[in-house]
Formats: sequence, structure tokens, C-alpha cells
Amino acid sequence: MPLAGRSFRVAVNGRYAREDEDVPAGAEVAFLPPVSGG
Amino acid sequence: MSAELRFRLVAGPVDGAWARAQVHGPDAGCTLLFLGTARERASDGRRVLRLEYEAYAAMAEEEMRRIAAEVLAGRAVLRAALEHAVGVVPVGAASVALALAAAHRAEVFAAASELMNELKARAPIWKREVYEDGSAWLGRGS
Repeated sequence: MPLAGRSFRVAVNGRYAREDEDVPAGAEVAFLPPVSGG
Repeated sequence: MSAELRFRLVAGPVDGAWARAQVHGPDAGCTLLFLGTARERASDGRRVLRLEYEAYAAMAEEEMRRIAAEVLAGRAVLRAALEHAVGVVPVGAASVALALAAAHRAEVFAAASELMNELKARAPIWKREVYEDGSAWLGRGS
């Protein structure tokens, strides 16, 4: 999702979320910038 | 049944010894050890002093296990292990070590390439290049 000019992926409870995924109450939600490991 | 990935994040550079030891066994006809190392020049030519890595540790291990399950499904890889650095990695040192063992070499070359491609695209780990005159977080589209 675009946010402040950058694209982020959303993770819910430690797993990449689908675009249509519902977020359960109390879930851990993370906005992840483009990764660059390795 | 595909091989499960042994994975860990460690502070500072890795040397491959842990990953190699995880996949060692008398049933293997080959062991591939890949080390990703910090190079002294950035893609734009700037001199790199060091790399700094951060990870979403709570997710990184599970995501790497999911990647490995997909990549290793149907491949005759006996064992797989991956170790990734967090924190500072000096130029010349290794930030990631991947070890794979199989009966025959073709399986490990193909699997290693695919695992590293998926790690770079999906694993929640971030790299910052530190230069003489600043720094930049790397990442597609960033």
C-alpha cells in the first residue's frame, strides 16, 4: 500500500496479509518497507 | 517430504560454520555453502564503509520457513540451513550464509539460487549502506 510516497506491505500476526484480509481484533499489524536482506 | 530449513539471526557477521554444521551428514554427496558478503562499492560507485541490517525477527524465521517449504518442495535436498546477520557487517565480511546438502549437486545449485532470490524479495530484513558522506536504506522502490 502507498504511504507517504513509499510502498509498504502489511503483515498481520507475522505473516504477509492478502489485500482483502480482515484484521482480527488484537492482531499485531506491521507496515513493512521494501525488504533488502541478503 | 522436503527438507526443513534451520534458520537463525545473529548479531554481526556470519562465517558459515554454523550453517555448514547443520547440514553435515554421511548421506550427503555434496554440500553447497553460499556466503553473501559486503562489497566495498555501492551500485552507484560510492565507497561503502559498512552495512547495517535490521530484521523483524518475530516474522523472519517463519517467513523463511515458508519460503524454504515452497522452494524445496519436490527437490531432493536433504538439509538446509540459513544464518543471517543483524547489526553491523564490515566490508568483506558475510551477512548471510546458506548451506544445502544433497546426494547430487544439481539440486543444491538450483535450490540455493531460488532461496536467495526469495529471501531478497520476501524476508523482513533490511540493509543500510553506510558511506563516507551519508547512508541509505536499500530496497526495491525505496
